[in-house]
Amino acid sequence: MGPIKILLIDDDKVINFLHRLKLEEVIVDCVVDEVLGGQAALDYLTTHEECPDVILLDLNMPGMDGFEFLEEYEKLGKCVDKSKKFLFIVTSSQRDEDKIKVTANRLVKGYFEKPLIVNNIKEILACF
Amino acid sequence: MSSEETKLTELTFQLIVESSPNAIVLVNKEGKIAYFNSRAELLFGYVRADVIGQLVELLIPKRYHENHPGFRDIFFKTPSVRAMGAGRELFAARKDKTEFPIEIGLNPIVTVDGTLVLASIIDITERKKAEERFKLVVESAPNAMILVNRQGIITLINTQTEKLFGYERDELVGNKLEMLIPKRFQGHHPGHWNLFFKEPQTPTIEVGRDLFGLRKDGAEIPVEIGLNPIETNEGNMVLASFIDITERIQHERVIKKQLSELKIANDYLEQLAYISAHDIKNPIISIEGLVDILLDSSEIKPPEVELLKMQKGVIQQMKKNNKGINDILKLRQGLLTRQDADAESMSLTAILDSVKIILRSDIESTGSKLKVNMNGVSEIHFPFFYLQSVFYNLLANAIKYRDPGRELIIRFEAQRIDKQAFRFVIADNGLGFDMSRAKDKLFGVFKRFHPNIEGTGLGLHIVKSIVDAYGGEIAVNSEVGKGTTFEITLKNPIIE
Repeated sequence: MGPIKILLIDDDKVINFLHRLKLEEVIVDCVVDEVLGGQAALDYLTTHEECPDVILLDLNMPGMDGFEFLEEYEKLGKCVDKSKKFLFIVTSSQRDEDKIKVTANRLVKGYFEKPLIVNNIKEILACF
Repeated sequence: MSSEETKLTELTFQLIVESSPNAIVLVNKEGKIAYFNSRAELLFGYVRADVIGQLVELLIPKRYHENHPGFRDIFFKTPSVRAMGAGRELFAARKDKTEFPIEIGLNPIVTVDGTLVLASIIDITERKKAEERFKLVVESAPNAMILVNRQGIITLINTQTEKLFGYERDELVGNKLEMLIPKRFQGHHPGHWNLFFKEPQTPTIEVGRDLFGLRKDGAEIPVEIGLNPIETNEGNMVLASFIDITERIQHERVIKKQLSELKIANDYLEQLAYISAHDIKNPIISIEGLVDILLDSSEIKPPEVELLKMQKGVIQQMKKNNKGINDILKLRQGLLTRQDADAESMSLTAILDSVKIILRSDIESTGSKLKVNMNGVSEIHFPFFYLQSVFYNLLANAIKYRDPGRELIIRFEAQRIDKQAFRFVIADNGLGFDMSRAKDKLFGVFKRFHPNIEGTGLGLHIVKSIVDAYGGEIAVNSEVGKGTTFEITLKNPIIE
């Protein structure tokens, strides 16, 4: 198995940067790509032949937000049904409703509050 | 008439007539008085000898003298047991010419001397007075009052009724109540009416239905109707009171509109609070992450490290404040949507113990003493989390704001007020605060009174929010240098 391919979807560049550092620190063999919104993520998925193994999705974003992205992602079909593809929510939302709503989605593997910590990354790795 | 019955002796007859509680006058075909009992003597002021053989018109006011003989003859032609007057008001005249209202029952008696009429007379002066009083009361009522008989006929109204419906008194009395009710309701109205007579409950207010009255000009007015069954000598009646609620409905409409506007504004503010809490959290996390990277870097020199550490401290304070806002929002949400089903019966000692466990290290490191007096209160029915939060915040405050110059003693007292209510007292001998300065702000969100001691300004606000949400009360008394006492009254959220 090659490096774990990770896609970060967050409108905050600094958060993406920090999450990348943390991920690269814990997962030695990984490739991290960043996009700044839901639409950019959809474009990324349609233009890249290979699907990311892990998607970390923020919820509150301008333009297409995390919830809308989940809908479009499901419609897209690509990458969704393949095994060993996981989507996690990483959000600064503190609303219980958001958590309940989004974790009910079958595509969502886990829910973390920002910032991503080592234990979260271990949880992601445990899927493989 | 059989011969047996004619044998009824005059003596027996006299006994019966004399023992009657009513005045009794026997009149023959010619209209002459044949008998006059002692009650009649009392009532009219005559002695028997004065009236026997006199025309019965002697007992009637002059103005009726002309017509009365005619009525008398009619009765003798078709004698039957009935009341005299066919519903008209009747009056009698005493010997001294004074008049009084009466009711007369007529009873034909066939004797050997021919048919006599036994007239049984009742003085209804008192009853008339009572009726007048009743009319006065109805008249002076602030509402439109309508007296209706079993047939739904209006028998009495007051001036307010004329004003409300725009009819004159004469246009209403004697007519069906239905004329005051819009046609579209008339279909089911009589049924409802009959039902009311069948089971007349005491004062009924028609609620939960939009009721309307119909004015003479055809306009409909929203009304509230109260129905009150009353027994009269004319049978069971209903006294209906109508209140014009046009204005009330207008007020309600305004209040409803304002309420919905407030709700929208409130929802908006809550959204705003959530969003700003979220939007602030994101950059805080970013700055902290960046500062951490710099702190970890080996290339940063000690003076910069100090600055970075200070910056990290500021960031942590920001995080704490931000979390405070979120905690408050969540608590409010939780309290607003609270379900009483969450309440559980549990041991008060267990709740207090759970709080002591959370605070153990603080209690031990400060050498504080907690003196508990449960006064026999063992079980309390309340949501565990909220009661724990109340005790936790008050005890944590007592410890936090202790007087470093003396040993902290916290007194915890429970007391059952009645079946559902409890009182808790949490008193300390700590720093205390100036009541005149703090009283109004004490329970406000993010209010702090000891600037040199770390705190979030949330504890008492949380306590108050919980107590308020469950209809309880919280009182505080404090004196600088002496200590602070909180007294909380809580009611069981579920009435057993």
